[in-house]
Amino acid sequence: MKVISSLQFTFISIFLLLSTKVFTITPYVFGYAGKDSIWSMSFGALIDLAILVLVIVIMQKNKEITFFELLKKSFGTIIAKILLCFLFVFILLKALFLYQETHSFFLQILFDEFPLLLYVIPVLFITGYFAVKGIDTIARSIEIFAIFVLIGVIICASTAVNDANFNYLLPFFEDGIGPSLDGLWAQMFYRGNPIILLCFMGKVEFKKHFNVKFILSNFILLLMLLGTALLFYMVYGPSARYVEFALADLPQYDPFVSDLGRFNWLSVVVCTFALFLTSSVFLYCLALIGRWILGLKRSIIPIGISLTMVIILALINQFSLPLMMERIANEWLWINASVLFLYVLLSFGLLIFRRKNE
Amino acid sequence: MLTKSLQENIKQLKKLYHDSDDLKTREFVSFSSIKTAIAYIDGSVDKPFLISGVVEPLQKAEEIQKRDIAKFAMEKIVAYAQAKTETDIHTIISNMSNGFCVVLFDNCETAICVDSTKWTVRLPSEPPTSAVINGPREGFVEDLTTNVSLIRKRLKNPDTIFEKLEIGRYTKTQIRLCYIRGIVCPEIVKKIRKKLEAIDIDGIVDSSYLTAFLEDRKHSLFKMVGTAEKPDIITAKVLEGRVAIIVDGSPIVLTLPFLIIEDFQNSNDYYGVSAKATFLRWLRLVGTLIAIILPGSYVAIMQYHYSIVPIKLLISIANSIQGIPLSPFLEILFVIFLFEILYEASLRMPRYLGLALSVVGALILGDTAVKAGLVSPPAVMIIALTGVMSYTVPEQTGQISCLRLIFTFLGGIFGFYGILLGSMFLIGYLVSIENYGAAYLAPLAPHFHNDQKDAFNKKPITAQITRPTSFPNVNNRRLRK
Amino acid sequence: MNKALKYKIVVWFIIGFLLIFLPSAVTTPSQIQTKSIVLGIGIDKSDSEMLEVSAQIIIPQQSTNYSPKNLIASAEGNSLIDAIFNIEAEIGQRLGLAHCYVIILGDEICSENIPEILDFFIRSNIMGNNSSLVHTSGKAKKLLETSAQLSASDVNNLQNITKYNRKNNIAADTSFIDLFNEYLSPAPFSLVASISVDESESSSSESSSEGSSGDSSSSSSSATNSPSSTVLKNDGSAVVFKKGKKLLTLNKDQVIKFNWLETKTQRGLLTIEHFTNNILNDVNITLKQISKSINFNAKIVNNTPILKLNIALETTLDVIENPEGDLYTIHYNYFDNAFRNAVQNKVKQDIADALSISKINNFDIMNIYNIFNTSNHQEWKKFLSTLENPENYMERVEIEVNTSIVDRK
Repeated sequence: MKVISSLQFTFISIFLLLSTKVFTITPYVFGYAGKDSIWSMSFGALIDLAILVLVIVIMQKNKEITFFELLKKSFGTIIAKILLCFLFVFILLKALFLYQETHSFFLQILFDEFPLLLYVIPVLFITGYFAVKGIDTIARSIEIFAIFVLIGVIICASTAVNDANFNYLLPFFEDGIGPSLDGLWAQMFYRGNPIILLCFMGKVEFKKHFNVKFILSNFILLLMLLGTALLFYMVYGPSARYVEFALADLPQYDPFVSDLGRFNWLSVVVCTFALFLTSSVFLYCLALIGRWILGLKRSIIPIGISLTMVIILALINQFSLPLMMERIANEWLWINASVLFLYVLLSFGLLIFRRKNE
Repeated sequence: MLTKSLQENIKQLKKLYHDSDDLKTREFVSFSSIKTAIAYIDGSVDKPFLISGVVEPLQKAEEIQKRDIAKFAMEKIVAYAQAKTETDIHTIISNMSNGFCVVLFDNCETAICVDSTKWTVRLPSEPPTSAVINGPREGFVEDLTTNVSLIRKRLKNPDTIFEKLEIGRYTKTQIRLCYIRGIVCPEIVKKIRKKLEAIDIDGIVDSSYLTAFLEDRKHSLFKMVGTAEKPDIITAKVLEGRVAIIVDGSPIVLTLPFLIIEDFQNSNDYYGVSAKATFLRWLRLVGTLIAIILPGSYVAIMQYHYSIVPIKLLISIANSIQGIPLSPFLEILFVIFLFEILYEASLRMPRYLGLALSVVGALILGDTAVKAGLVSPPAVMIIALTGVMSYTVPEQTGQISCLRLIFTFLGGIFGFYGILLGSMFLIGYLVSIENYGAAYLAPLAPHFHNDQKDAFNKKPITAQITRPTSFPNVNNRRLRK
Repeated sequence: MNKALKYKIVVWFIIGFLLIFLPSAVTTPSQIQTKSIVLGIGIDKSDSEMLEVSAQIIIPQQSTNYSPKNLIASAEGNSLIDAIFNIEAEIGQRLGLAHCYVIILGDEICSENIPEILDFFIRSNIMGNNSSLVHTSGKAKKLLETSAQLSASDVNNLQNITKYNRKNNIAADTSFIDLFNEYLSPAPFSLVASISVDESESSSSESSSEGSSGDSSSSSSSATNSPSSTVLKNDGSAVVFKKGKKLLTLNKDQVIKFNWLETKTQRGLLTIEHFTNNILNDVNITLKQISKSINFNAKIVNNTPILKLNIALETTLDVIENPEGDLYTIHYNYFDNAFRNAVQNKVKQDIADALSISKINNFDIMNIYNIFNTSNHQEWKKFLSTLENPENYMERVEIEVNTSIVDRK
């Protein structure tokens, strides 16, 4: 069984948290929560952190077995496979969203025209390559790119600091707490990525003081993402709803910065590396779950199945981000929120079950 | 086997060498009455010493009545450091090929093989690609013995082992595996030895022949085996737990396991200030990345994403590319082609013409092509810059050239998207390579904290207490305080 | 399937994929040839009541100097994007708006709802969000043409002026994003700087243009034979927009008065006229403002919004006109309590004037609404609910000013 180091595992979790939080989420939440969006984002970040803590506790208590083996032991094979099917759907929708977001991103930011085939084939090839190579390759690649992605996010955000206007956020809770809760519910599709870390159970080499370092790193990342969202709302104010890709538009604001060129190409770099590597993680997890469900030894068939499902779903959505956002706001939100809720309950159940056994 | 008849033995030797002209024999009388002959390969022996150390003493020796004349002669008469008796004709042939001379006696089935090797070799000098400001300037030569001695001079501990191997049906090339018992991981030595012993080839002309057999990935663009031309570098690598492979006839010594970070390290880094070494390593890394990505990025930006460029620079570039008939992609390919031709021609040119060719190439081809409107100044500047930058890491020049071309294609076809995906694929490919228990991109990925002291943030030697953990070794402590 | 075969399939797939797309890479020209570089956009109302959009386009030319040749191309359309498409058809190239640094609004078009017109730019990414917004008293096309005549080496060029305005916050809303933000806020008032073309004075600056706008390939752009004395006038005036439409124009002195409440405006001059104290008699003193900080205190007392301002100024002496006596003594001793009171009164008067203008014309560019809404949200809502027309809240507002001034010698 291949083992990834605790540092690599931390970076994977950072990428999972970061990937869906830098582009479309901030303007999307603004559409629901308005000025209180930052509070919605904060509550959402707390949910992510709580799920992260829960997941890491379960993983620490079951270091030597995989998630599938744990579910089998606790609930039996059939129920385990059914539960895994839910997780499969959860990850599939997120993977599809990432692919679509990236396509729209490139279409909007970099290219005037971007033929679909030109996008689809290379990206599926690359993410498929990473998924086939295994978690070792993905983890090491993330180790290399992580620092550049984080620096890119910080630079993109910091270019807009001068133009931030705190008054755009005031007054807090102007219309009560309702809008921020609306915003919190709306973003539930984007949240809950730490659940996916359960797939790495039994593959991580935990070191001393791992828990503290891991939680602290992710907490700092969440703060950083919140800071980026805060800057975005403070810079764009009421116009935030019009902007589609938050991180790409933040460096665009200052005309003196843009004398040096368009810094949003930095966000392109961030986007590509972070999102594609996260897509590879998703694809790997889909392959792993597929292997567990179908009882296969090799990953190539589940990867093929996952990629086919991604393409079919994308075609159903006509490869259109606005259409997908609409689905996200309706059906997919409920699907993912339900799976998230189910898995949170499941995690608590596993902990209690284990405690009883002990 | 040898016979008792001297003439028969000489005939046998000549037959086995197919009457080759460089097989020389000289008959004389030793011990006053015994017919004797020496045989040697012309050009491989120290003739004056042969005469004074072998022939003359034998000629002057008094008559004796001994059964085993060869053994007596070897023990009492022949004044030479290394000599042994042999009876097997094939062993004798093998020794002669390695510069030994053979002394044959009439009525004796035993011959003496005397190590009188003196090949024509050049003196150790500073290799051109490993010049240093401070530090040793000795470099390896084509002679195995000299090379071994250069290493032994530095590694005097008896745990330093030089294991002998011979490869090549016709060349019978001598190979030495050099490692330190108690530091190197025995599994690595075993694996290397097994691979080398499995080679059944006509000949090994240079150490690079062996790299193909030693690599785990046969078709990779990237080298899997380290190389060095200086004994101080090899000594340092062996002390870290690597195995050095010295090949007779080649000044390039191979080392395994190999990590790509080694090519970014230069011996100058260890003989100067650490802070400067850190700066220079980062410079090499940045230079390499720019050399690979810049042409492709230029093509991508000019064909698809000019909005990234600041306005003043964009106007300058727009002005300078007016009237160029080729697309940016073809333009860059054309300039790359020009420069590669120039490079290749300058390697083949006689030295006294090389300077003239550089002037012709640089000034006339570059300048005239721009004035003729075939290519634009930015394209020439970019390729010239990347050409210079690719030599910040000379060992990777070939790889950088290939990657530069690949990224140019990606940039031309897919724009910045292609560049980014290409980078991801490249990194993904590199991190998946493992050879001899070491990850290729270690200590960057996987991250080995301990090894960062000699990666891109070089620390002084006093801080490098342990050996690298990026590859296996059995004793990781190298500095005791 | 063995490893070698798999490897071959993958390699040949990659090579095949690249070869399929290789012709497109070979034949794709430089984007500069298919997409023009637009520096500025001007929007006017045409005679036929349609939108007339003008674009200042850079024409590359083989030259070693940085001397861009400009072309002004314009076309009409029912909407912004319609007009842009028409321009593209005229010039045979797409418009690349990524480097567009300014959007100029002609005076006539400002009677329309500007955010509705510019709505396309904010939703798409074809133009950066940092483009400056500028109003001109005449036609936007005229301003663009004048700007095009001035080369980059001329100091008095539009790019420098818009940057200066932005940096020194001459008018509060200097980018089109700011206009949108104000338009979408509860108090939809914006202040946009105004730049005009001055043809009256003969200028000493040479219009050393490398290109003339007469080279236009667009049939609807006129060849302009502007006199070489044309310059851009940035006199500090600004235009007030209410709900995206022009309300009135403020001159420089009026804008300065309104800028007292702008925290971002740090530079300025303060003139005390007819000042008399122990050592000075009826002189005009001008101070240069180095920095300013404002402390707002908003309260609603007896259904009256009262805004208390504590303004802390740092100044340095600029000039004292016609002083009598030893200059050295005057310069070191002019700053006494009497002078402080005079400054206080001056600032109070300025702010009172600004408030008066606001009340008369019923606009709020001093951010009164936001100040009260953020600091006293509940009371403010209650106050608004008591008004017959909540939009007329400015009628009741009172401002009390307290100024402290520090002289930096």
